[in-house]
Amino acid sequence: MAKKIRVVIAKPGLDGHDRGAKIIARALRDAGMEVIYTGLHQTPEQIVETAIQEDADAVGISILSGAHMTLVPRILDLLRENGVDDVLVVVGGTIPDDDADDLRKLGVAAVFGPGAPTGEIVDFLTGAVPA
Amino acid sequence: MDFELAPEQKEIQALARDFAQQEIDPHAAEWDREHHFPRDLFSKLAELGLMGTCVPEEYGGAGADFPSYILVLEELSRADAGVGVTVAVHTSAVTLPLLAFGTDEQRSRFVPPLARGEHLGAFALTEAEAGSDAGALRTRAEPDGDGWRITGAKQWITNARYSGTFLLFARTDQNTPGARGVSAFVLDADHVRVTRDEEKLGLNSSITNDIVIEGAHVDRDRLLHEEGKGFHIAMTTLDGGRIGIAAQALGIAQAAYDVAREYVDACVARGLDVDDFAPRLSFFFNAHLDFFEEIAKYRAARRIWATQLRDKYGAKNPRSWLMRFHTQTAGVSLTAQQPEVNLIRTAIEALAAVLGGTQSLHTNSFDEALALPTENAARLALRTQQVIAHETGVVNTADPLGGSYYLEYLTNELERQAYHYFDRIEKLGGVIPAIEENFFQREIAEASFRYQSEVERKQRVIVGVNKYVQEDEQPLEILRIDPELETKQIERVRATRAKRDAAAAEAALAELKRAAAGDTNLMPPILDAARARVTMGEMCDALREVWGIWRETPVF
Repeated sequence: MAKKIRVVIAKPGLDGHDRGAKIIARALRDAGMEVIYTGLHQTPEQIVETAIQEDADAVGISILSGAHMTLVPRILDLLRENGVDDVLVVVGGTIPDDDADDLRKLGVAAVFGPGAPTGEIVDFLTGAVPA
Repeated sequence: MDFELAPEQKEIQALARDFAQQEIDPHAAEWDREHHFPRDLFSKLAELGLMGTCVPEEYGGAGADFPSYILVLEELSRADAGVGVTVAVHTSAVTLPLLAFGTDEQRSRFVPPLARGEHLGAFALTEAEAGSDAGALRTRAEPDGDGWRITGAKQWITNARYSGTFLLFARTDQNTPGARGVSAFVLDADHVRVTRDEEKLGLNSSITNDIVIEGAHVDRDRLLHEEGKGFHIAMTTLDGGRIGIAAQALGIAQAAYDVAREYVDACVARGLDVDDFAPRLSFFFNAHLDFFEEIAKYRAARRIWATQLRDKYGAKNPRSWLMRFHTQTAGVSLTAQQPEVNLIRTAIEALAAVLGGTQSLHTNSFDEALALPTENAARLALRTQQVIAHETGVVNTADPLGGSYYLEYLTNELERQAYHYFDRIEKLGGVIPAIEENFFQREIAEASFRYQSEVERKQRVIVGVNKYVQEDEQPLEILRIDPELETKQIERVRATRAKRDAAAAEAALAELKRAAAGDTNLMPPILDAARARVTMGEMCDALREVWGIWRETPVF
């Protein structure tokens, strides 16, 4: 049997909207992945630590507060500072298209906005994480 | 209490899943394309006991619980929604009402063949001129010897061509129009003639028919429950399907309620007179899109509050009985696709809140699935409220829909379900143990996931998202927050801290911590701290230091 993909679903910052994060977490789990959900109000440091400790293949960051251009680059930097270069970073939430472009340039593998079908996210991770 | 699926539930789920993968999945596309009804499939399901999953064994069922049955439906529907519909109608709309309303004799006679899957059940309510207004149905049941003679026609009847048991609704009292003259009967296949197969646009592996009943004679023992109670049975039965959604929406409201009751209990336990504080309490509701259900939700909520405050807490002041509430339109209903359409959604949600009697209203801006709202979007949200307030006239009457048969029915039903929830929460030991055991969190997570699955399977249409999609959407102008704002705000806080009386701030914080460690009222030290220019962050840190923080056990 192939190795299970391990994903950390993370909610950084003060944004308490986790309905979407939990739906994604469940959809990924139902698709056979190992999912760790951090809970609300995580700092970038906590998220990176969780990703390292859990030996995650991917980190899914859910932000609906508008603070993505502050929080996501910080998480990417911290991953790099800790020598982590094999963790796929994916972002979901209310991310304007222009910002999504900028985030991809910074190293985010994909950005999923409101209305993205969960199947699309499952397919993306399955394809992007090396078997 | 353990909220994981019980081993037996998991077993049934796995059984249904394996069956669906082997017997349904490989054929689902073809059945749908060919409009093929897989009759043999239901015999195979019956062999596994899944045509009567939650029917007691003494009536030929598998004797599992209701959640197990829902798990089975989920698994079947995942493979082929048409198969799911067939089993759902067979079970929820025929077998279960027979169990609920039948006499001992009727249960023993009619339920086992259904539960064993010897034939399918059909629910025959709808007529050509009595669709959503089912109370207007014309099929007649006239006295005939010791029974009735039934004549009429029904349409859109799921399973009819393969049905051996029909739960059929007919008017027994020709002089009473509307719902009250309707009774429910149990008919066999030979009482009924199937005249037509409906052409559908989906769910093609299920079968939908027109039927006629041509003067069929039935004896008294075919009447289900009492004469004139047919509409009650029909609506109770349909609840099984639709109230699932209402219960989800209300689940959250109920959680709020119970938390409120907990507050009331806590205040009363402290020796406060209920009439001294109850008039000041208010609630925060969310307005979703199912219009009548939403209105009924607020009406049920008000009724429960009044009853509880008056009868349980002995409140004497009528103002304590009034449930004051704020409503915000549902963020989750906003779409990033064709965002202007959100103006319409929000208007409908706001109207439901007003018709349900809200005292305060927040209408979402149409661009909030994309970013924080622009000035223009926020203005339109305000204008939506102003149109409702000043142009529509709906605010001129209190409870304008009171007395509508449908709304009264829905209100009663939601009230009943709410009390059912209260019982469940009480069995868990109350609200706080229920939170600690993730009861509410799980209810919400389950409901959200189910909603999302329905959207993705297109069982629930979201205009612009899974239907009526527009390919060449123009990007909307959205609000950009100047990153400089953050720096400025940090500067302001720093400047305030530098200017304040450091010793006074320190003392106020120490006092707050002391109070937090005991059980005195925290408001005076919080106000003193604010007056000493202690920041909110500093106050929260102080409280966290004393209390620690709540870490949720994530449930999804």
